[in-house]
Amino acid sequence: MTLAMDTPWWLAALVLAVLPLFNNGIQPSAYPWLVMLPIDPVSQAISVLLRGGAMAAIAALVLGLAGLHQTGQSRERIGYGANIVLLLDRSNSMDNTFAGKTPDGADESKATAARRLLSDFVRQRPHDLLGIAEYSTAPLFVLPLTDNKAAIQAAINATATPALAYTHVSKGLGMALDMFKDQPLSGSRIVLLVSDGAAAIDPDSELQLRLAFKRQNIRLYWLFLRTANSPGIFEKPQDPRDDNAGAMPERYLHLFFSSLNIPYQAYQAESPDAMQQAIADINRLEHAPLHYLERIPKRDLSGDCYLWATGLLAMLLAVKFFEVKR
Amino acid sequence: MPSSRVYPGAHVGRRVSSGHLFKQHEPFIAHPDPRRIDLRASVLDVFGQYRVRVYQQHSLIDVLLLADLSASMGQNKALLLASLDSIAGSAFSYGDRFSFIACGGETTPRYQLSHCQQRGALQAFSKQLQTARFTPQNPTWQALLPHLPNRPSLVFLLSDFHFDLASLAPILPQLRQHDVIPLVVWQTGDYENLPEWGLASFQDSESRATRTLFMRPALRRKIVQNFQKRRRHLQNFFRRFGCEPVFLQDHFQAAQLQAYFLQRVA
Repeated sequence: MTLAMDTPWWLAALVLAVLPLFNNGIQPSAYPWLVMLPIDPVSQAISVLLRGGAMAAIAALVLGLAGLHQTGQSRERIGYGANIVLLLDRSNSMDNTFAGKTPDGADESKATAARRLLSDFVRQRPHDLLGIAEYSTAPLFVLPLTDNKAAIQAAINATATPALAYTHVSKGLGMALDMFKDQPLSGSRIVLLVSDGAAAIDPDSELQLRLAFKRQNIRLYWLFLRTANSPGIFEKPQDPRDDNAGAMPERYLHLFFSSLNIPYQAYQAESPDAMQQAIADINRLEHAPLHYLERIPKRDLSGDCYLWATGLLAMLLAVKFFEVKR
Repeated sequence: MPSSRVYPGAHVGRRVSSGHLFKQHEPFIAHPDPRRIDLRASVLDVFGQYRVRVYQQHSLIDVLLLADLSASMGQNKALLLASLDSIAGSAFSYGDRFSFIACGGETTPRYQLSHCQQRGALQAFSKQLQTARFTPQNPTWQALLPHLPNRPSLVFLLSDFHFDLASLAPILPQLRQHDVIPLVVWQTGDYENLPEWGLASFQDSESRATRTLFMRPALRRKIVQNFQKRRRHLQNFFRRFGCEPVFLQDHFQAAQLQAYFLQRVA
């Protein structure tokens, strides 16, 4: 536990705390000869208590003024979970239902379903470190890897804002992988890609992604939200001429992921229920011991100081009322 | 014995000498003073001897009041002035001479009134004494000795005796020729009339040290006991030097002194 001050020069006022040593606050009356008064242990104890209380009250006030606080800390913890980066698709199509229509109340949009299910998923996994990245035309950095559940929920809820433009998956993947860069290698590292479409990956990006996936030791889950009547990721085109990345980006992205030689699992969800099934699968699979540092934020202690000072001053005031004059 | 010389009230001297008051006739052989021969008495004498008139000696006594002016006596100022008035007044009414010497912490007495026989001088002195400063030290009794008369006198020693009696012990034998009456003045507020409950802080008038006490009936009883013990101790101490102290509480009461003197004769 490390203590620090906001304005340390206030500590100079701690000198005032010695004042009660010279005056215990009770107005003395002249007495001819102290030898005639017995030495009373009870009175001595009360006198010491009074002085100590007054000194502590002054010290507490000064510490409060100086802004005593506990500095931010990190604590080493071990839990069962994973480092998970959620990579969310924010393209326009995510705002449509699984049927490819504008949501009308009966059916929820893919984005809403994803939000709801991911919220539950996060709630069920208390020890995970989660980060969130989004992508559309450009990648969006939302939240670094953290165990702050409130921040994660807030970030997931923030995807309720209307979606953006197109799908540029390679840049999004790049950012998701980047998030693991400075993290200690502990527990499993998962990228959970939630998207409803894909795009072709240019050869430059492909090379870099291959390297990054290998270096970061990533496990990849792709939750593909398939819209009705759109090509699936496992489908082979009937016409061999259509078998190219431009015509079937989903299939080629799947092939790319499969060729990475990393643990990879693709889920093709065609309804919210299927999506829930996929998330439950991931939830079940990813339980490895995780070693991580929990951050403890700075704690302001000046309130406690003032509380103590108030209590002590109240005690001294009560004693003052108990004072008698000869 | 010194105490045998003191009687309560005014009374004639037992010695004969050159006074104004006729006492008796004596044979010339007993008082061979030809100036005092009483011719009429000599003629009437059956044995034909000369008779001489003898007169009472005009006898006076010095009354001294030695007062402690240390800081602890500050609360007894009124009592001090009252006793000064009363003792000096009764000395004047018998024609005795009154002296007052104040004894503070210094080596020479600051307030001194010698051989005063007039009320006016006493009143002026009393006024001066009202503004007296009390010294924050114990009284130095040694400083008084040079100012005491050689003739046997009546000496009142007015103090609260709240100091170590060892400082007084070497002084008292030197006052043996005088008739010493210690007047112990205490304020009941210092012991009997202390509050029963509560927190009180006491500061020593002389050393300035303070002591905080949580007053309660048991503690007050203890303090009263301390004062009773001190009273016995003072009595024993002064009896060793052949004097009996008078304890005055809160006020000076002449009746108390009167009773004291009457007790001594009985």
